[in-house]
Amino acid sequence: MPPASQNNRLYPFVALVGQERLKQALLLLGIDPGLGGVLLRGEKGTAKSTAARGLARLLPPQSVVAGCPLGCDPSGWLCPECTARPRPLPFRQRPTPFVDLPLGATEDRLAGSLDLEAAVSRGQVRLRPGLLARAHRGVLYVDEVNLLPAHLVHLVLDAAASGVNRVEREGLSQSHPAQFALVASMNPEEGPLGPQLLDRFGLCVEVTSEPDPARRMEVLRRRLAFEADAEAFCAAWAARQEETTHRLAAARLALERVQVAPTALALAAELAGRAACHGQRGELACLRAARALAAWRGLGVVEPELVAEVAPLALVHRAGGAPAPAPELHHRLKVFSDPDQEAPPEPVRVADGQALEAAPTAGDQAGGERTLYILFPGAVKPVATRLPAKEGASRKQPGRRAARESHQSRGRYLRASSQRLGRAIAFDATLRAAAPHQRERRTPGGPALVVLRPDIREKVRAAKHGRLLIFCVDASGSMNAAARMRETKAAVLGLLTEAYQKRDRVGVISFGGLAARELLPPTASVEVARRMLTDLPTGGKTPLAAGLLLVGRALLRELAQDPKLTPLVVILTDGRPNVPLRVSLGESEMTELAGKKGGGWGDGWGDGGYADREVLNLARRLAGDPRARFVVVDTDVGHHHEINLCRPLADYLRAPCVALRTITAGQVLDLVRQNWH
Amino acid sequence: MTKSEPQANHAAPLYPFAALVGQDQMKLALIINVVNPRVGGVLVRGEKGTAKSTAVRALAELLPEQAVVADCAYACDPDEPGALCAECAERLAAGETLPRDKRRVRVVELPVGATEDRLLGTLDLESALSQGKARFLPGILAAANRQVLYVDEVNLLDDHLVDALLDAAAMGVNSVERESISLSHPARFTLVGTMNPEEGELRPQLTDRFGLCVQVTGLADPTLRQEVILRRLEFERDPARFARKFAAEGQRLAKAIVRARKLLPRVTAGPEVLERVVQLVLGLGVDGHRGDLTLLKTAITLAALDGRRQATPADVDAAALLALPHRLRRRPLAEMEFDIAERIKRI
Repeated sequence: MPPASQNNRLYPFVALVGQERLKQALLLLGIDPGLGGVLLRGEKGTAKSTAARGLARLLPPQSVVAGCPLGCDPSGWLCPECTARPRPLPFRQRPTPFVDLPLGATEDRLAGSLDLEAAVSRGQVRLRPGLLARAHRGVLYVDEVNLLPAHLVHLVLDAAASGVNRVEREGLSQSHPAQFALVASMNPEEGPLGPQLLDRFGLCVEVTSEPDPARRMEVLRRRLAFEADAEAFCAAWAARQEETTHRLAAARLALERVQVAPTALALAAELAGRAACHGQRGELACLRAARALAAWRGLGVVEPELVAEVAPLALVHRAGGAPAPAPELHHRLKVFSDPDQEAPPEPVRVADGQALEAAPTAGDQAGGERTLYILFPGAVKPVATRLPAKEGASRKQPGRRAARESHQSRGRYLRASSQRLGRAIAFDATLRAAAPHQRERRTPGGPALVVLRPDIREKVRAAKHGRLLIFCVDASGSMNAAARMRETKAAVLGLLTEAYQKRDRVGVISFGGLAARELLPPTASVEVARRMLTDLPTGGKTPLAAGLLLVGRALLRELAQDPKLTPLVVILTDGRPNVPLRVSLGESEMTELAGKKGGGWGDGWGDGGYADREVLNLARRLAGDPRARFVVVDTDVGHHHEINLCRPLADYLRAPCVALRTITAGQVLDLVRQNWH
Repeated sequence: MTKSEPQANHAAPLYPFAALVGQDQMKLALIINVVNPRVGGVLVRGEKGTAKSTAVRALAELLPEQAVVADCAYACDPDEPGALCAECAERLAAGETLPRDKRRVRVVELPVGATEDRLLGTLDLESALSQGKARFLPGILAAANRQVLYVDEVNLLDDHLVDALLDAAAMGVNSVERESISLSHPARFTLVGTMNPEEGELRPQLTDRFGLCVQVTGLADPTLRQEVILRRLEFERDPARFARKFAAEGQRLAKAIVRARKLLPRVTAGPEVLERVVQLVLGLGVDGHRGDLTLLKTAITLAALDGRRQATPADVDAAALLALPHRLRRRPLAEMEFDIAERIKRI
């Protein structure tokens, strides 16, 4: 696919066919960058990044202090260097900067870092501005924001919200303004963006491809013309572009004077309420966007119609269901506990519960203390000691599991660490650590950069995220009932979708008839797992013990390969095993797991209770390894007073048990998520 | 990294492209990309042992020559001043005439264990230590500019590497913002990836970035299978002689490619062709607009390969088999459908 910019020519914004909502949202952002960013959600190949780039070209050129790396506005805030320069400051015009945040970006390039050359040659500790500085007074485009590592997203959003970038690293302690219009794109199939991140975006547009054939042909024709001769194409649209640029500039100036009618305010609040948005950001974004639209149309007052027009843009991504669970009584404790002491030495600090659930803040970072959430006040048990500072902690973000840091040599380079554990050396960080000291260390005729042992930094890489999900599915005749199978399949599909988004591996073991089979050894191909599970033939008896035996073997194999794995096994059954292992394995003697006839847990289903006892004994064994976790899904749709083996099985496995007849497929998914971390 | 990479594998001659048995769709897809690099690369899916890697490596002998700036690390095109790397652009602006050379397009391989720094490029340690300067050491993407980049087992590559790769493939530029380095350089390459779908699928937006997609299966016909074995044995006994045997056909193919490349800029597509394109994409349910463009380009390339100046709706239908199967909207987690010929006929 040829690049969007060909020979430094960008596809003109005004030449985009259709996509009216997309263009409108971006124009509004251009008029009022304080809107807080636009999120473009939709399929691939729908001109998202083309439009974002086009926007930057539409914005008016700005004056900057000549030679200032931070792009200071001569009439605004000046960085220390510019302040120190003699007045009048030389300035020049430049186009609005457009900065693309590439996927391989590291934190030091995003936030800025030590200027290596200045440090080495002049011993100065100077900031080398990063991407946030370059985007100041411009547009920052983040593609596939839902796939960006959490720490980078937070960095970007913090800067977008506060307008300031603070750099605290490598001996630097500086802050500089970073006011930019944030445009981000994502494909929702690849995983959701956490709710607190979503909320920070002012507007959101659902982007789809053009369904109308005539318009689609026009898209094709224009694209071909652009590729054939970009210059001529841009020249043809130049007049329209100019017009739009002027209109945009005029709107920006007019923005301040736009008033908001009280009826419009009321409508905004009502719409936000109806959409059940959390917090105030919804109506604020709505009003801001309405003001920008009024400025664009040359109106002096915002009437309710304008609010109604922009409401979908401002509210669609905030429209909520239930708020994040926040129990009534919510205490936050820091418990420093000495095993010898009985009572906690510190008084309990009660903080407001609201802020805690939404975004784990400083208290959660690597640094040692763990915060405990206790739902109700009661006797405090010393349960947590002060934990040592872990390198592994990172801020969690829903939608993508936290990056486990690994000691291995593969994986994305997350950050540098001064802990020496024998990992690969992070040369950039090492050199930056050595740089400020060169003046003392340098010898005539020696190397320009002398690196000593305390300077050495090592690379901390992100471990591969994927987990392992094993389905142990009952394929016996009792599963034939359509209702059972349908609900089961819905639950399974939900789990598979989750596995796909999280890049987990999936395995399938089924048991039916007399024996169990490993239908699919753990594979990354979730599509194949889906096919297996939808085409699963059912019939025969229920050899649950054989199924559990196979699960045990699979777990053993996988854990041997990767001891750090935390597999989750989902057992879907109606809890009526009636095939003892002797039959499944074709042996002549009952296994020792079966116990004695009639002894132990009941009589089973008329076979002397062997199958039941085997299942429970196997369960106890499986539960022995703390790494594996289980969830038992009771697919029985019989009368609720009929008991089956699911609950005891779950108890032995130390697993939750859910009955499909009482909960929905979605709740199964939630349960799995809760138990698997 | 040396400024001019030597031809890969002088030691062992490659299995000749013309000697491959069957797998016509895959061969066609590869040839289309050689004729028109703008089509956007090929994703070859299939089981192990179906000549995927052999075909891609064998492609090297069919690749044409191109003009390059002789001493540029990125093999810049001296005839396209708009696409030069920063250094060449500077030199040109300073009034220098850039030294020219003619070199064959290469197949650059991305090894499976590649790390980010090898792919994207990284800090040049030597100059950092000896001169205290933060200089850029170009990576594989730099070497692949204007070449063919071959990624084997693309679905096993770490996510962040595939992301970086496809970003560069889409933009034609590799932006490096890491480890004290901040620059961008041209990275326009034809991306050829192979994968075994049973080991996991690529994300949809990654698959979408490949222009064409073909599914290869083991040959069903026993005569063809025998032929494969016989030819392989012969090749292993005496590679040079085997290569000579197919040299004539290989050259014919290479000449056809050169002719098609010359013809390509003059091939036109009338309104009925555009209509057919839109008809097909809407009828089959294709996500996004990339498919439309790729379909059209592929149809035009097919016409050029056939020696015609006009593309026809029949070209579009033939091109659809290559350009659309991986872009069809699927139910969640459903597998890809490759047998769309029937569906196409009905539209």
